[in-house]
Amino acid sequence: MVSAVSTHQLSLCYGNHVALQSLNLDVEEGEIFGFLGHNGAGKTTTINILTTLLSPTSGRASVCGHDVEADSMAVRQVIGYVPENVRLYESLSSFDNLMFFAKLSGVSEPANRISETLKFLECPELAPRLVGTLSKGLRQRIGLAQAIMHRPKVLFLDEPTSGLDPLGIKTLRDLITRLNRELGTTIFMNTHLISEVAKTCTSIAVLNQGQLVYQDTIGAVMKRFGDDAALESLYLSLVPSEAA
Amino acid sequence: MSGTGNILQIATATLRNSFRDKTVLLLTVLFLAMVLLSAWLGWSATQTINAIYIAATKALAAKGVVIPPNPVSEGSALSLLRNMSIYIALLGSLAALVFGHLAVAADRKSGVIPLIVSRPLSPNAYAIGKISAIIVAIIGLTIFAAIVNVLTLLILPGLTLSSDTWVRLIGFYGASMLYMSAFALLAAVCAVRFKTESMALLMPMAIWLVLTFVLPQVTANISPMAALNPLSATAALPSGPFFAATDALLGPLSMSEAYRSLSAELLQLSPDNLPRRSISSSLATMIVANLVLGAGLIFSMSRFDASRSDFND
Repeated sequence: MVSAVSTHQLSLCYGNHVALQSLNLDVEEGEIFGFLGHNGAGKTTTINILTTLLSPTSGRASVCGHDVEADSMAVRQVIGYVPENVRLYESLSSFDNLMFFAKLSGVSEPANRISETLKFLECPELAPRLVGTLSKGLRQRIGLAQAIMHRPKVLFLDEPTSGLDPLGIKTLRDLITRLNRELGTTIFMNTHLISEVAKTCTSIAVLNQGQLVYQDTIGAVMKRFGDDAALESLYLSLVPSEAA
Repeated sequence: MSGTGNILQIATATLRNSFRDKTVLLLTVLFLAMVLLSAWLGWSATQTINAIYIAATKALAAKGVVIPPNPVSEGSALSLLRNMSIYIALLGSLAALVFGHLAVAADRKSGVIPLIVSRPLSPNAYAIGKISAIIVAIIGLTIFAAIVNVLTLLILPGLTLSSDTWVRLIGFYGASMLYMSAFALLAAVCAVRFKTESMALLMPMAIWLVLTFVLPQVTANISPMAALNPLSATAALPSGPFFAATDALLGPLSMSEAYRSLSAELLQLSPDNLPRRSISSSLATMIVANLVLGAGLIFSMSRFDASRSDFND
């Protein structure tokens, strides 16, 4: 079976700074994968490579069997991407923004698909509103809509709950779970919120200073350590506090 | 979606977003207002000359003197458009420069480039979409100016437009498009390449100033204001080793001089006895500038780091 996401000895350097070092990672189809690590650990760099925004210095990465370097167009066909701060054309309505991205993604009957997607995300009323007038939480919802309109196989979320209030975090968590269950989308989520990982993810990996230090299923982690607090202890033992 | 479809999407979105920008709107309106003013000035001047001619004709006829021909019908009909080449060299190129800047900078400022680039869209398609938007916007501006000018010429009494006049008119607007699009492409290239928005805007502005005011003076001793006006080229080009050298070295880069010379030639404003740039060399300067800058935009986009697309300022 082809992994949804796979990396082999993936590295990226900015001059002398090693942002990512020999990362070997496998995420199976249908998983909600939580990628944990402090700020600057290399999580966003990893997503940037997997979404074809950056080229690695060495190593390989593939999404649904497509190499991110050699077959970047095929990768882009099967992925959705929501950056940490969702930014869209502020002077356009949500609908116009979504229409633009739907057409770029080659969605047929884009108006219908936008309507379906907004209903799925429980926010059809946002369609006519200018993006510039939306709160961070609502903007995040439109960001999610642009990323799933073309029904990607893998959805990359970079710190999706960053800056959201508790209600916004819960709503987003529920949406991510529904996306995974109802549409079968594999979710690759960067986060540093351990509580969110425990509630949402089916497997995790921990990155520290560009290196993978742990990877397992949530079931195995829970079986081994017992509860959410144990997961936090595990994380803190893997990631030294001075890295924070 | 096909590559062509994606190019169309990028071009459409660029046009829609740019013409919502107040700076672009202001400069466009100003340019269009100057076109209308130019048309009115030409119409008013011709009407005045006609009125004076009719009054003079009557007086001369009463005295039994031979009546000379009407200077309006004797001169070139296109010379009435002399102000247009000034407005295009100043306002048209400036509006094009701002449009070209915003065509790319608006995407960088709004932060949508990572989202766009993560779609099945090649950097080349993105760049070609931007170039298409620039061309469409400039064609739109030029067509409006052309319609106003042609209507003015058609309603003026005493003017006849021959087929040669029409060819010259089309040539003039073609040259104007090339001139404006070069500045728009220059600004778009700078908007891709520079890390700060201030530099991305300042650099093409500086180049615009150099091309419009400095180079013509260095290469042909044409004073800054005269460089804009094809009518002012009534003196012979200065001779001497300095100007011979600068003209040979920098002349091909002197796009404003090329445009001034070309528009003077096409609008029949240049005196017959003056040496000047040939139409082909002026045209070549502008075509090469457009090709180089268009290729530069495609190349710059292919090297652009989409993960760090935000301006630093």
